[in-house]
Amino acid sequence: MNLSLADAMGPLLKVLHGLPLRVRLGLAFFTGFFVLLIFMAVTYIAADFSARQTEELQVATAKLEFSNNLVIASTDLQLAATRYMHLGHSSALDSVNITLKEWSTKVELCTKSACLEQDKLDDIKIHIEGFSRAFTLVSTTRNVIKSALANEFDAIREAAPAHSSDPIVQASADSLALLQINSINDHISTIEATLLAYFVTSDPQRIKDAEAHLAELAVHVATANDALGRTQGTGEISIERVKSSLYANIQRIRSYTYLVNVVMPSEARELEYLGDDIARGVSKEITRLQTTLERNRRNFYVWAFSVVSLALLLSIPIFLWVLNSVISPLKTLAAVFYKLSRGSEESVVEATTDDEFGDLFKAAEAFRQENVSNRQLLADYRELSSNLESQVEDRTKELNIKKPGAGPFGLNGQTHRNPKSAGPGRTALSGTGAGEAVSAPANGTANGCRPLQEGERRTRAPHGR
Amino acid sequence: MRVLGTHVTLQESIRQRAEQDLGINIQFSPGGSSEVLFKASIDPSSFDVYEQWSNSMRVLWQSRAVQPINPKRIEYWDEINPLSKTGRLSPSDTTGAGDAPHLLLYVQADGSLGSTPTEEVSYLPYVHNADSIGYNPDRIPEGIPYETESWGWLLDPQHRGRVAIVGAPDIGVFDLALAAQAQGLISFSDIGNMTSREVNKLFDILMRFKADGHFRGFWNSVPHSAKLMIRGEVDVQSMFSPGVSMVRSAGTPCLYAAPKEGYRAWQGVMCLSRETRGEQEEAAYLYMNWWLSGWPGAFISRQGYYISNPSRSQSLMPADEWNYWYEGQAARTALNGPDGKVNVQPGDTRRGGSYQKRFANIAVWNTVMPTFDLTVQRWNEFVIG
Repeated sequence: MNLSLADAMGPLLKVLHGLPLRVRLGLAFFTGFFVLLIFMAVTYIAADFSARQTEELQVATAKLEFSNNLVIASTDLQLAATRYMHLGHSSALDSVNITLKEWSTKVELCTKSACLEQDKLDDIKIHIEGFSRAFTLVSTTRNVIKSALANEFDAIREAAPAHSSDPIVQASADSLALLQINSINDHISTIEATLLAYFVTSDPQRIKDAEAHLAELAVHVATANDALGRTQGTGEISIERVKSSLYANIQRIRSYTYLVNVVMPSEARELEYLGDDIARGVSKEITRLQTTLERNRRNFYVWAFSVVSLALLLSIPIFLWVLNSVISPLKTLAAVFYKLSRGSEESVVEATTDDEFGDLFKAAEAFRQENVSNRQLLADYRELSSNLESQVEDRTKELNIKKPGAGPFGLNGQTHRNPKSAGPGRTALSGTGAGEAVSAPANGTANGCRPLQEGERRTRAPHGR
Repeated sequence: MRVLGTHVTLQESIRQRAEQDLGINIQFSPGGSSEVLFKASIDPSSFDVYEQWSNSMRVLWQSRAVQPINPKRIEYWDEINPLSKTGRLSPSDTTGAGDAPHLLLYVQADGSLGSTPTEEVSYLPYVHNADSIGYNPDRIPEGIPYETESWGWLLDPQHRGRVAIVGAPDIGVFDLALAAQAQGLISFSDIGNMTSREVNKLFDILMRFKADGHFRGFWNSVPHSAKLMIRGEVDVQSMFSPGVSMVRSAGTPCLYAAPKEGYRAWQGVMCLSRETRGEQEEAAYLYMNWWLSGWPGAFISRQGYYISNPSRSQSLMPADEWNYWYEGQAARTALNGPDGKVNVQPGDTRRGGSYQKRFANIAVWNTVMPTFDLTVQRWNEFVIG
């Protein structure tokens, strides 16, 4: 069975039309209020979502800042550490220590507040600690290496034949021996200086230089021993101690430079990578959040527009319906009253609704009927008056005919002209000769008035409300 | 007794077992390889026994940080196999390039280290292994051991951005040199003793790769290497055997390649501090002997390491474990790693085959070359570049 919309809506409209006006007005108000509530709810949800995304964006921005700072810090660490290792600047040492401490604290705080994924923080921590361990080790032993080197070479110099104080040398007065001994001392000092240069620069060329000086030293030692006539067991000058010290210090410095040039840079580089990696991830996250935020903003506008449009679409018919349900009966009533004011008795006012306007219509109908009734009563009265006068005239004539001496007024002279004050019969004439007139209005029919029908009585009832 | 070394051997379960077996107090101080080497070379009084790899021997010996060891005080000295004493497991094998363990073993009359047997040795040979590259077969198609698997994968442009290298120039330089040579980018007259020119040329090549973003990074510890692969940041990298075990234990597939160019091998060294005397020296010898007594060798085999006297550990290893780790046979049951987690599934075969086969294919030994200082300098440039 196919039902049209009108058919489907019919019962609903009937119910709606049957609603009292205050209910309809209330319905219109609550409809508007409900739509407003929906709009506010949508606005709140959108604002809340947007706020949460903004918070996420702020968190991501903080992460980005953290990671970017980590990248900068790792570079700074490396530069400061290199400056300290090579130049020994105490400001560089302070800078490294402060940066390491600061970042250890930052990582701890970040761990507590879960500002980054735990495994990433663990990685950062591992590499900060790795860098810190290596730096602490090399910075605390930096002076140890230098002083050990200096002490060893001081001892070597002390043991070496000094050209000014060695009695054997002085006794021999061999200029060649003196020359060789001077060269021996010079080479020992040069080897020490070369090792220090290697320590400072990590330049492998310095090792070659030191080895070249050692080879030259060996030649000078051999020449000096020859010149002084020394052989093994007779005070021979030996280069073994220099050689041993040279290689021992080369290896110490080598393991030092290994930490400085390999371990610390790779730890710093890993920190830099981690910072970059986090930054890359966070940048993507920020881009995604910004896109989502922008999309949500657009969606919100679409939603808001849709809700407002829907509210308008819903409220306009409701408004028109309510307006019409007020204006239309008012217009009809105005026309009815206009007609009634003109004395129209023709149109029967029928109530189209069962609301307050319906009551007004019913009241108007009752008014019209009352008006008709009054008019009829007035007409009846006039007719009765006219008949009475003619009857009086006729009777007078009759009396005059029967009693020529009788006056024109054979009655007792009292006539109540106001029918309403005449008691239950509405028109009461005292005295004789009015018996018919008195009895007739008593049932309301004798004067020509139509009796009120059952339905009419009901329509009057609202007067009493 | 204080032991200074790296995490790969200084494990708590080993320390506890040693204390229990020997009845002495043992203190382990594990650290990064360069860190412990530096500590040892600067301050020999900070340790009694030093454990690391043979490439640290020249530094330790020349810095006079360690004293000679008397082999007569090593109970199982004669059981130590020929690999440590001659550089080869069998006479038909080729000795890899670089500092094979025997070249640094014996203290020569002039105080230098050499291969001529003497009454003193610079170190006790104990654990050793043949290293290569680890790769994820989910990302790189599985190769054929000794045929298609190659060090060259480290410099294969297909793996750009997903390659990591061990952050130690005395080790990593050989991984990269083997890779560059496999890719035909360079050839070395002696890869174990590169000239300055060769070192510079190699690093010039590597810097170009670095500039192209070829390398994910450098790892400084075994857990770091494992993490790189577990997190999927790396597809192929230099690896140590325990790292491969860690990756597998974490459920990430990882194959330890048998490169056609051969392995990069290393010999574990146990040294005695120059400063160690008296009771500590006695305890140190006890500890060194304990390492060759069987249980430690059996324990350490579970992370893929070999011991220099394997026959003594064989009796303490279930046949399945021995067959898998030493004989290269398929495991019949699931085998646990040193951490107690399964890292070998039934049916798995150790890549590269048996102990003999693996050590018959050594390309180079970890070495501190004469050009080491230049290598370190260029490595620094390579890392921070």
